[in-house]
Amino acid sequence: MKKFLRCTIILLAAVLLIVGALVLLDVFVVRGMFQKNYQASIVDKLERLKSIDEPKIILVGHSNVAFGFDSKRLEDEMGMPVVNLGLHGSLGNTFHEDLAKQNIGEGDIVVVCHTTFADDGKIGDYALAWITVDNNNEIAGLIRSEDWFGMLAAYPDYLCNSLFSWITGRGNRDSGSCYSRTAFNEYGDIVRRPEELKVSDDFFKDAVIEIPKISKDCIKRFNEFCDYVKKKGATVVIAGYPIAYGEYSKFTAADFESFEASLKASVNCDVISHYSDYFFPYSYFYDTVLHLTEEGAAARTDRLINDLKTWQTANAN
Amino acid sequence: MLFNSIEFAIFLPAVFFLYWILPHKFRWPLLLAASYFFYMCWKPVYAILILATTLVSYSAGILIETANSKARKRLVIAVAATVTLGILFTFKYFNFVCEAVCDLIGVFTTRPQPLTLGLLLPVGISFYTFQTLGYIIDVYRGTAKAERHFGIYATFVSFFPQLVAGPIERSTSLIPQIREERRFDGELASYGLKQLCWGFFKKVVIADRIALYVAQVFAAPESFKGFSLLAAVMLFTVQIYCDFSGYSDMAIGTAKLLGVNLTTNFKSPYFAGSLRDFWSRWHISLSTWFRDYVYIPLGGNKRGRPRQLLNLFVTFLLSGLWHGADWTFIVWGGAHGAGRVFEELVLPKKREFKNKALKAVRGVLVFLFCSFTWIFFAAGSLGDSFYIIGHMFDGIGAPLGYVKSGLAALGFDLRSLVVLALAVGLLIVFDAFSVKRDVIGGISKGKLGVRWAVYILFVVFVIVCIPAARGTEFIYFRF
Repeated sequence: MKKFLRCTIILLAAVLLIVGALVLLDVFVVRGMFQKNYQASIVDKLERLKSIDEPKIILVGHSNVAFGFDSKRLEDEMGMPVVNLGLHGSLGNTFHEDLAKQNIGEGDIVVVCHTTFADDGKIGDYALAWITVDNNNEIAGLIRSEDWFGMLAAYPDYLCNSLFSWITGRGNRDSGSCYSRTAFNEYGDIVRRPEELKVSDDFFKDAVIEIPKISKDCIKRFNEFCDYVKKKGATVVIAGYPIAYGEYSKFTAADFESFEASLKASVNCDVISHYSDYFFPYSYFYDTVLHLTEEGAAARTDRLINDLKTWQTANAN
Repeated sequence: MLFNSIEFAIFLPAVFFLYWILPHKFRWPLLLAASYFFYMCWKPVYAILILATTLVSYSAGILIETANSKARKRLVIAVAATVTLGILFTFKYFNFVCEAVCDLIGVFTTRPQPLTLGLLLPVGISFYTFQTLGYIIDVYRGTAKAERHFGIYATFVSFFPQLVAGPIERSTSLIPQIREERRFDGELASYGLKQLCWGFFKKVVIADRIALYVAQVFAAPESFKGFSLLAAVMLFTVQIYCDFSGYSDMAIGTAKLLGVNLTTNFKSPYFAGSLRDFWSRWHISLSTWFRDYVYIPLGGNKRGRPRQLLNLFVTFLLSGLWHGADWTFIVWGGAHGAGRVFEELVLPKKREFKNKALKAVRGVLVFLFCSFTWIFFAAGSLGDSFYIIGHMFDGIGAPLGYVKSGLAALGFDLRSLVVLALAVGLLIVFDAFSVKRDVIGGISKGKLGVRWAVYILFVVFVIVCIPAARGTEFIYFRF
């Protein structure tokens, strides 16, 4: 028994030593192989957020935000600088909210465009989260303790990916598609939309567009976020997200009105949009059911401007 | 609890240390408690089913042995088989049979709404039902003695390494090992740990990585065409082998750590030269179960050639049905049955190919036949299966575009291709050597420096190649 245990421990120690060496190689020599992909746009978004101390509009949400606004138009109309913090749905609601917390000041308007309010708060894709962190300590600080175990489990995949990219010289390449860091402008909006990613109406035949769900836990976390923002002298509002509506839709405006009423009754902030106002024709979408074309992004931005102005007027009265 | 989970990584060492620290008389209670805990981690209430099956088969064994007439023995075995198979039928086949009956009625008149039970299929039910059924039949035949110690018998039925996906053990092999006092055998434990690691590699590095690409195809085949379908079929062939044999290796390795030897369940099946050979290498414990308890009782090859071929076909049909309550499994079993019948007719047993090239061709044909039939096994319905068969060569006229677009549709990147190629390459080498040698045993006897280098590099390779999306269930848990 002693010999068996001794051999097992020696083996584990040797393996740990080699894996440890690979980790050190990744941290100190390889140093970030995903600095030019879509996830890396978070670095620029965060930098912009931190650079603006005057009252600003912070757009929070998943890729429907990153791929669906014209922030310049919003800035011009609202007279406030805009930061688009939208990133990837797999990172979860809480990650995006925590991102916004990095610089919330007095007078800020935090516009939340979540597509679900039943999120468990956890990161959904830890491999993607590693690519997002990619040797950036500041982003790593956004990973909550609840996600540490999942992150640890996904680390080998990231390590393999990172080392493979380094060895083959394929790291830090600009893919040239919309899913790269350079596809976003200084606000954090997508500006490069390749033609080949346009979708036909048939794409929506089997597309799953669900009525958002609401869970108590998610609302509790979200209300804590609202309280945090209020303490900072800023305001949270919930706005609509783009909903593809057409001949294949299996939902009605009434479904979303019902969700809207439940949401309004649950959250400690104003819901400034009618979700049915964000029903857009199929031609406004590309690649996914949440990403908008330039025309779509402009239309969506106009809706938000209208909602924000209506809300401001109502509050002023 | 899955073998490839963190929970198991804590559970196994805990059981291992307790098992070897405790005196012999406390070992079976520990194994029994650990086994029920292991099972109840999934759905506690379903432990009642194992307990019920255990009680029925335990009592049946004693009643058969003590019965003083053949008729009484028959009555007991009939009742016990009805109860154990009844539980299996209720949970696994009831909905399927109701739907099939309603479909049949629908041919002649308005199809009635089938009565369905909203029951979740208990993990491993087919395995432990067959294990207990085998025990009852053995006692009836007099080839095994009825176990009088309920605790040891319950441990035999629920032994956690093989409880949920086999190997299906015989009482004559497992019960004595649970009963007899054993001393820690370092070599056996070391072998077990290596086999456990090899199984983990097959499941996590190969099967789970392939699942990332293949699952999407079989979930919605109509969203794919051409090479993506063909690649999914070929990859599933590797996935199902690595998933199931990986589980078996982990089960056998785990049992060895506890000083127990389980039945070998796989012997390089894709190196088989015929379907007969394939089934003597694939899921061996099930194949021998069907041979001993279905094929031979049906008459085997003792009642003339036509009857033998019919027996073969029926056995394979039942084997298909054992795997799942769906027409796809019946077709899968039927295809293998038909294949075996064809083989019996065209390739008489004694006539072996001496030409190596011809042997290789035959091996390739068997591999392709198995890959083809896996389509029915993996697809959600017969319609999906026929769609895959009908469209997997779409666009083959332009081979480069056919392959390129297929790989792109599956979402393959270069890293995954390289990792998979390396891992599958290693698997092929291992299995090729395993045809004639004990590879793990061979490495263990190698030079110290060489074998330690192999161990360390292998474990590092496994760690670095673990895909992020994992912890997936074993395919055979569904059966």
